[in-house]
Amino acid sequence: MNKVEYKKYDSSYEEEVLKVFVESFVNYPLFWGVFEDRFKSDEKLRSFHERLMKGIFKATIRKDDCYTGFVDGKVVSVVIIEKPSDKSVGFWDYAVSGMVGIIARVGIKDTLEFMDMSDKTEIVVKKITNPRWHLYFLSVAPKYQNQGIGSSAIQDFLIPMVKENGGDLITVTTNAKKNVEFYAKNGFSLVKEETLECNGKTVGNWTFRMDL
Amino acid sequence: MSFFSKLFNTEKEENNALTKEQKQIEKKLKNLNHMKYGDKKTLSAVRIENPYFGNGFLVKDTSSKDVCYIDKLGGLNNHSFGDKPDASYNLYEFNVREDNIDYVLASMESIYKKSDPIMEECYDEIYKQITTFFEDNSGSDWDIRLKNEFSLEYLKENWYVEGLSINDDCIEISIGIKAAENPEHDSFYNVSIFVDYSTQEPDVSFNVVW
Repeated sequence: MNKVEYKKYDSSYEEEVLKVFVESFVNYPLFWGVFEDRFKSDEKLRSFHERLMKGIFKATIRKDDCYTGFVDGKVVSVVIIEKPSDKSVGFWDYAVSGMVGIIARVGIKDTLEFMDMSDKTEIVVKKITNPRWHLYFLSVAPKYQNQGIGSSAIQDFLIPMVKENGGDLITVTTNAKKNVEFYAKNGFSLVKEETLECNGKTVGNWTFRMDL
Repeated sequence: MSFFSKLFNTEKEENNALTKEQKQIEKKLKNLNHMKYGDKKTLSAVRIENPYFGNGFLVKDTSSKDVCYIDKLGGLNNHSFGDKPDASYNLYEFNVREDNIDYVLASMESIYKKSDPIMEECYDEIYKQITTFFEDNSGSDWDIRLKNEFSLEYLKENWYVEGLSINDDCIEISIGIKAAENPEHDSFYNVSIFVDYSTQEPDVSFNVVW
């Protein structure tokens, strides 16, 4: 496969980028599991998940930097990074990015519980006072997974970029156990492993850091 | 005395016995602290009294070196932007550094005074974006249709402010318009007007969020 080329997000690729972002998080515990039993059919759950992920993407890129990975002109990966100087993504960002529709689907109580838990996934990271570059999302299109694109995004794109900008600390959190080995293999050290609860479901939460 | 000091009652208020309202604020702060920092006390409330923001409490975050006012706890309403005397909306976000607050409030005052000309500059663009969105999606699975009576005049009469996000360099005004035949379809898009403090020129942002 040709080398992945990363470019700053351009909204003219929005449809392709959203497709990769949505599809790569199907079955992800935080975005799928906590709402799984709220829908009577897989089709409705998928439709809800698509809307939720689009809202999360649009809210996140209001504050954070998004980069798109291309191979042969096709979008294969999406990397979203919070720089030390970026302000946190907040309720406002979600409100104007489609979360109103999410609330209509699952109710305000479940939505707020979900947002509360999303906040909790970052508590360990936010206690780190040193300037940090936080890898908010790393998505690889399903048909390109297990081909080294995720590792390459970290080794060949993220680490050099952070170093070039004078950074010396990268953090990341994940809620999927299968990602723990991936981040350890790519040089991250586990800071904390914990279990969070939302809507009666438990979700694992792993926080990592990499000192450059 | 700075512009900031004229607008806020700070220590004097804190020393008074807690009123029922202040007790409620304390309770909300406790919950916010728990959500944001796991019981680590880093947020406090500061009363604001201002003809442009209305009266209420801002949440002050002192967890980092750059003290920042991040949110509101309630009571902040404004009744003047865009000549909407019957409008009443919540200030959703106030994300401003403490050392920048005088500049932000002075800029806000100036923007509010010229809210009508600002909106006049935006109507055509908002109208164009909305009609294009409905035309592009008229044949979709959702069967999205504009109201029969939707027109530029309808827009001018029927827009409302959903909320404000006040930042260090600009204000974002989220605008609601009941444009669709089916009210649910109005949640498919977001219209925001960004006004930069330095230029005070509006910039319309239309975002499909469904």
